[in-house]
Amino acid sequence: MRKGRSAFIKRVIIYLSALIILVWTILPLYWMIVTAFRPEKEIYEGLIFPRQFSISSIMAIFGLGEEHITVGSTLTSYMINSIYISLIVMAISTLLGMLGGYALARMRFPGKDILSSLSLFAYVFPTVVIMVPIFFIFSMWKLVNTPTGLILALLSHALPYTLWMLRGFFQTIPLDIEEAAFIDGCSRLKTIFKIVFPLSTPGIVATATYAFILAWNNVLFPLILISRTDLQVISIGILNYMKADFVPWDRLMAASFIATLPPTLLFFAIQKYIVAGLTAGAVKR
Amino acid sequence: MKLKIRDALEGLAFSTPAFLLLFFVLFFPFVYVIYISFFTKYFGYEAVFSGLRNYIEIAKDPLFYYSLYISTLYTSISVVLKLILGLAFAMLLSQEFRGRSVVRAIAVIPWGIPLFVVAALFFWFFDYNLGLANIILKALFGVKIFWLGPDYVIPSIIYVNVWKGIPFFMVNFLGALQTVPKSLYEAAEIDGANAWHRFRYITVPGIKYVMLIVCLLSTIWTFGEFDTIFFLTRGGPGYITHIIPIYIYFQAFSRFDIGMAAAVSVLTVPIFLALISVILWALRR
Repeated sequence: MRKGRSAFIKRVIIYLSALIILVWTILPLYWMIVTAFRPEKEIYEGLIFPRQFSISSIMAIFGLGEEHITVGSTLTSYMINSIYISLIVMAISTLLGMLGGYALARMRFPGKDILSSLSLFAYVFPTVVIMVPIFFIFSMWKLVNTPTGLILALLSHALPYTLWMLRGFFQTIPLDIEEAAFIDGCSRLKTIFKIVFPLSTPGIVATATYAFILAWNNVLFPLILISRTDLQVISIGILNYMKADFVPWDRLMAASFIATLPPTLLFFAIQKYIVAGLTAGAVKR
Repeated sequence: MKLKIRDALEGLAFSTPAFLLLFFVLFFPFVYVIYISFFTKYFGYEAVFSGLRNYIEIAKDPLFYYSLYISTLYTSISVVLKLILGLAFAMLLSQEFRGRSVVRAIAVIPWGIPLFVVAALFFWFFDYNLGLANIILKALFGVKIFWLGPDYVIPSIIYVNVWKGIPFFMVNFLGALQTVPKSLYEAAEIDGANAWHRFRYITVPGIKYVMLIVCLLSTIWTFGEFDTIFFLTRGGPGYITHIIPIYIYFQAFSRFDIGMAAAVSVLTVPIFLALISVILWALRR
């Protein structure tokens, strides 16, 4: 009897705590989604639950549909720039990260250990420390207000990450496989491109995806390097909405919702690899 | 011997592209920020060598001390709360109950959301007249508060940081908890150890390296993070949330005092270096 009762109380506590976690996490998200998908007028009524469904705010950020009460520029070009810049950062950081990461994982050359630690340092280091010199040096090199400048700056963050992560993934490929290929007469290069890289595909895809997310989510570099609206990315588009005298709440939330989708969905697809990456060494024991 | 040289050359050939790029976008700016911190330099003017003048200016600036204080306060409270709640979430979600995988999936969402969206989200959530936070407070207690006003802004930004940061702790702890052998708990229970003792003497030692790494990473990222506070408060109201990254930003891009901004950046480096060195040490354990 006693035992059954304490087990029951334990159940109740577990479900209550789970409910608290859900409410805590969902409330701000709920408010974003409800605001993004209700007619603009309804926002000013202060109701918790929506009465009408509408995608007019989503349309409005792309310049479609009817006029809205508050003003705010369309974000189509911001979105396209974000996609374009993030894809290039992803491609370059993954390619260089694959080569460099393999060298750090498997090859023997002077300075290897220092470079390994350096890539972790560089990734973990907050970018705010190099904000000032990046702006200054890039002005000298005429890279301010150019996509190239933004891409290079973003690589300073994404590339150390891909190097460190891919090094970790390549280390998990059993050495025997490589040696076997070597003995079968495969050259080093052939072993790498025909065996190691294909075997590491999940790790490479996950790392590339996260590099895309890092570029997409960045605020600091577009903020300091880009002042031309036609080159600006989505994070700053959202900041511009927030800075307005009359914040266009409906479009701010619609834009936030749209801007969240690519990184969040991608993040969920690769989440287990990301977690394994950083703390792998410590979790194993 | 011949093979060794070839190895070294191959290694260098593979890693050179990545590290050459990092040299220009990371290492060079890093050295440059140290160099320019010894000059009096404003945008558009020649740099004039002035020795330690910038550092002396900083030492005399009350706002710098306030920024350091508020950064430390904000970081330490946030990290402690994330540690406690992240561990609580993880321990709850490692219990078996119906719907666990759904709760787990939802609880991770904030991790995937970009910081600039988190900022926009809470900007709206905290809005005085129309935000959900005040609508709920009004309905439950009949009061409304200025979430981003002088009295509540610090708890509010900590709330935002904790909301965003818990999943990182939780997921890493969930992984680590799985590595603690179940048999230890069973043995302890037979020996009559109560729940607190099992937590204190089995759970905590079992996951202590993960706890250390996660806390240090979070400390670095919270201390160096610029995005949410810049978007939410721009360091205000007044100077209340003028954390160090905001201080650097305004020195450089509002007062155009490159030398000062560089010197503050340099001063933060030893803090980050020390924290990262401990992480590297813990990863090797």
